Amino acid sequence: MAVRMAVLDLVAGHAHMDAKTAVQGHVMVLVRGGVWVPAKEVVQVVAVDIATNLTKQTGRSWQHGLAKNVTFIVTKDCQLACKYCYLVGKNDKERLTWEVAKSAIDYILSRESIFTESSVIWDFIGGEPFLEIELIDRICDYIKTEMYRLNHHWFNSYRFSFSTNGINYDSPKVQEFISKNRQHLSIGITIDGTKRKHDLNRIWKGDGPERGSYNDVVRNIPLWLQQFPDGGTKVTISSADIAYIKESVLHLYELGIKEVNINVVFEDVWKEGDDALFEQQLLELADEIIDKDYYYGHACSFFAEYIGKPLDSVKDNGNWCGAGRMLAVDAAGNFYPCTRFAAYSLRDKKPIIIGNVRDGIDFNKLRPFLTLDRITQSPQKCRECEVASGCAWCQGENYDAADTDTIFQRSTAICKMHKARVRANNYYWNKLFRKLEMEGKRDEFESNRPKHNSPIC
Amino acid sequence: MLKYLTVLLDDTSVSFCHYSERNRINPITLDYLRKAVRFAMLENLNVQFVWPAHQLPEEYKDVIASIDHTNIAPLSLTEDADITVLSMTEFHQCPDNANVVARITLQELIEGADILASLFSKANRVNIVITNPDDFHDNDIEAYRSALTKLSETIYNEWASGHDIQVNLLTDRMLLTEMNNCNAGHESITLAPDGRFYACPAFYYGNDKCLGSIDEELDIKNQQLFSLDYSPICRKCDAWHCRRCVWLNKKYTFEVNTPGHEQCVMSHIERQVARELSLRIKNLHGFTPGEEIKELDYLDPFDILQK
Repeated sequence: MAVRMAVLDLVAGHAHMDAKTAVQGHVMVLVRGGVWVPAKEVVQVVAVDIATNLTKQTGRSWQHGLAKNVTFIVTKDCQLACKYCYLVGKNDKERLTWEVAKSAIDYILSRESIFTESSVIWDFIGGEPFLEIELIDRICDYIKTEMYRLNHHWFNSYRFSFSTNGINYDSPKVQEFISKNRQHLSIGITIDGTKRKHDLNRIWKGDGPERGSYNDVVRNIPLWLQQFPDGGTKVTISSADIAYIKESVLHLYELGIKEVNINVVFEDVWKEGDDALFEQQLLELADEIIDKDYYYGHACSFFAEYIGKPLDSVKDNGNWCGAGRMLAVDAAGNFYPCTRFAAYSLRDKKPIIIGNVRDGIDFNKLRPFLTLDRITQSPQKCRECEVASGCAWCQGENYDAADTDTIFQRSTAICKMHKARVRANNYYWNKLFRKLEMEGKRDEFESNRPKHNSPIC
Repeated sequence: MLKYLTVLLDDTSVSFCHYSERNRINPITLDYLRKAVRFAMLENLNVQFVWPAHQLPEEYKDVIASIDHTNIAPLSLTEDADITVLSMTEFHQCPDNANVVARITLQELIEGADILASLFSKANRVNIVITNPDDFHDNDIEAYRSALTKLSETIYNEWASGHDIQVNLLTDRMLLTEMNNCNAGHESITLAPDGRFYACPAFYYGNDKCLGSIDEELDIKNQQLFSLDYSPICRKCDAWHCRRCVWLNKKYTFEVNTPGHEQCVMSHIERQVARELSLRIKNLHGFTPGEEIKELDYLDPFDILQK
């Protein structure tokens, strides 16, 4: 602890200095000062503590666009069997081993010339990632130590990210891990809204009568918000639960969650009339948010000013999805451009493996992902769409639903849902701005406008 | 828009590209052959028949003769061939004034460019096909450039003596003003002995998915991806002579519209040597054939797109 506190004090006074320089200097001071610690231990302790405490990052979309996302698929198991889950191949057999994880870390950290992004997000995904908390803890300790030992440019700029079902959030091991890494953590707990909405899809795995998981999750929300007051949740909408959108978003606000990232599933599940019901729900939600002044401190990703505009075929030709700029590794040690291209995520297609921890990345396999643009993959109706902005796609779902084995065929299953969203979104902003202008609060709103994350991939 | 139909008359039909043909004789049925001819007439397609070394029954020849066509054939059938395919051991038997495909390994090209160059005095056009492009790596760049430079010296001498030999890897780029690629799946389609359509023979021999059958219909899903406009890398590129092999694309990158690094680098080395050759020919003739080839500072256009 003495080492830790002293180092932190020193670094705090040397904000201009890079972390490792400061740490190395301080270790020498410590030794000269008579505090004897075996050299290896010093390095380990200092690395872990400095990395944990030095580079506190704030802001909701951390290093958006600047960070490399490395995803460990730590398990393909989950306590739940959510009805809308795209993971068709979940199982309790494929668990990431320490050896594979270490090989992946060694491969990535030893190649700074390839991974040139200024920051990194180490993402842990399942199944349910916290089922493997001991492995995750070991991985994170190793990452921190290695980033320090290698004087890696990510040492000052990294995050560990989790999206969890929240069930064992309060377990001692998870809490210990959070305490240890708190300032480098992004944790999102998925709760779908009201009990009836949540329990409609997010049910426990196993035989016997269907059992919802709402009560098992909601009890951990206060602890989570206490630790991560700006924590956002991810809500997924499928056909069966459109009717509960309004009540669910408002319920989440009441629970204290200020940021609700919500999206309709990309799969082709939509029925006739779903778009009209969806629009109606969003209109009612818009009225509630505006009439009850939620717009000041809360965000709902369904309402965003930028959506519903035409897109220029040249200037607005970027790919929506980050597949290929991410790197995922699974229990077999295979690399994927995103977890959605692993076998357990795919219904009808074979996985797209872009390398492995032994042989490294086959960069030829990344070329399609890195050159993919909006126009090339879009059908004519999307190219000409007058409300195209904000219409999302998932590259993995595109691939899975495509007529051939290609990532260059955009699925348009959400077309009607997007158009419904655009109409409700127009209503929201027209109504909100009129209200603000009538109240003389437009400028105040603009200067304090809440931000929310980029739409969920 | 489809323009060409390639018909493999047998599983042993001579390979005229990167792929290898099969060893076991398995001719197309007469019924499929008749349907192929009818299909080509209905769709207004130019037909290329690819011949095996062994004899086909007379009734096959009658059906083949019923439509205007081009013959791609091994050396043993060169008398009736529009394009004769030669392996390296056959180069010395190259017919005079022929249009030939010269199949050669990368190592043979690098180490034995002189043997290949011996074709240039006899043939009118030589399409060099490297049979093992998989073996090319970045550490072969200089050796490949050196081999092509040797070939360009021979081409220059031929042109200087009045024989304007065409060699796909080096003179096509000088003469072209836009992309001129293989266009398999976009402008051409192959009918295999199994009665099914494939983008090109390589997809058939590689046991890839078919694109419909002659008994049912031609069904090219996502056909746009075979075209230049739908290739983000190639549509920005000016290695106009590049084969832009969709089979190699699929093999290297899993996508027919995306070339692998190696194909791009090889084509750009060819482009570089073609540029140097065109400058020499400009001095020889006093004019540049085609448009001037600009100097580039990259070998892989992917790198430019990523900047």
